[in-house]
Amino acid sequence: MQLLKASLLVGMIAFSGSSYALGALSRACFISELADRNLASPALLLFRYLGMPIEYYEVRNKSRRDQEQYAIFESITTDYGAVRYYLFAASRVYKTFKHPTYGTTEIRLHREYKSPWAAQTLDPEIFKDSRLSMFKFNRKVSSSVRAGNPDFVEQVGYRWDEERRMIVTGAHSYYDPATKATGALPDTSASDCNLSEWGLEDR
Amino acid sequence: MKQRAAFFSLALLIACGNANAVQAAGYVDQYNKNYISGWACDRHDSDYQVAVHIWRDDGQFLTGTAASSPRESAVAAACGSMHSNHGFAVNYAVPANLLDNKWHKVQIWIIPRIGDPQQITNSPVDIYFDSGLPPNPTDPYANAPAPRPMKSIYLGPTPVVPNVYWPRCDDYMCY
Repeated sequence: MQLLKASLLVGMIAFSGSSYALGALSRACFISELADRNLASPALLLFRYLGMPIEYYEVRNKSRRDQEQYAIFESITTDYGAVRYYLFAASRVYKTFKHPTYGTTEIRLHREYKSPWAAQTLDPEIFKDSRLSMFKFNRKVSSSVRAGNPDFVEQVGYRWDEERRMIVTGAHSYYDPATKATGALPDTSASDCNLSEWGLEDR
Repeated sequence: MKQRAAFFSLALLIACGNANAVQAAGYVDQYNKNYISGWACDRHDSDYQVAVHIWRDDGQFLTGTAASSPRESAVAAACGSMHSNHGFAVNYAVPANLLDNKWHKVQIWIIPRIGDPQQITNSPVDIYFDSGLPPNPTDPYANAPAPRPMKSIYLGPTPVVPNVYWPRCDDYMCY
């Protein structure tokens, strides 16, 4: 459970060590899935710190049925250790639906997000809030960028043929201002909160 | 002659309308998250033993039963019925995901033979759906903080935002 809690916001927060590393992950995370693991409140608290509108903070008190309509779709690129690179992330959110004739599961583009080239850091004041203590790790993310809804949480509506399952794919790159070289990280994909996968790759 | 035909047509329409009218009567006597009892009937179809459906205010169907158990004679009088078999009592189990430690308005509807369902006299009733755990007296997350947005670090000029070539189709319909 602690591992699940700790892994929730990996990519945005922490991890240890002195070795340099870049990381990438995607998530298609319904608030109901977070609530099932008692993670909805701390996760929404962190998103509130990062700029989520206050009305979405109250989603934690909604019924599970309502929480199934709210989700976080994002792809994140992270850097650990020293801040060396500009990072980039792009994200595509797909809905799944049954093909009316063949009965196969198909995908339909729902949203597309793109970050700027940036190296962004969390305000350290955030972690003075003891309610976020579960997100403190032993290695610190130096910077990250995120491709996702600027409000973090969004409400999802469905057409008649669409399933309650979403897929997020992410593309991730980094740019070294010293060498002016650009590199790509492997694409990421997720259809859940990605709580069990750390989504990190050492380079 | 035409006037008489119109009069009878109108009378027939009114009669049909009244036949479809529902007059829900009933009362919830005892209730909690696992049990509910009372009596219910349709005064317009007074001998018919109606079905009773129990719904929560968030659209969750809790249970259903027939109002056909014997009750005191006052129930027959209240229903205008020839008999007093309009009682109901039902034990029901609530799925764990509905036990949210909150009060809910629970509605008791009668399902008449003809016409639309109606709620009985003292419906809805307030029921607390506790999870068995003591409710947290104070919500530690009640106070929402002011945002503290992420800060950008300047490392030099940035390149042009890249075009991304996606491996999956990007059409609206991806057959």
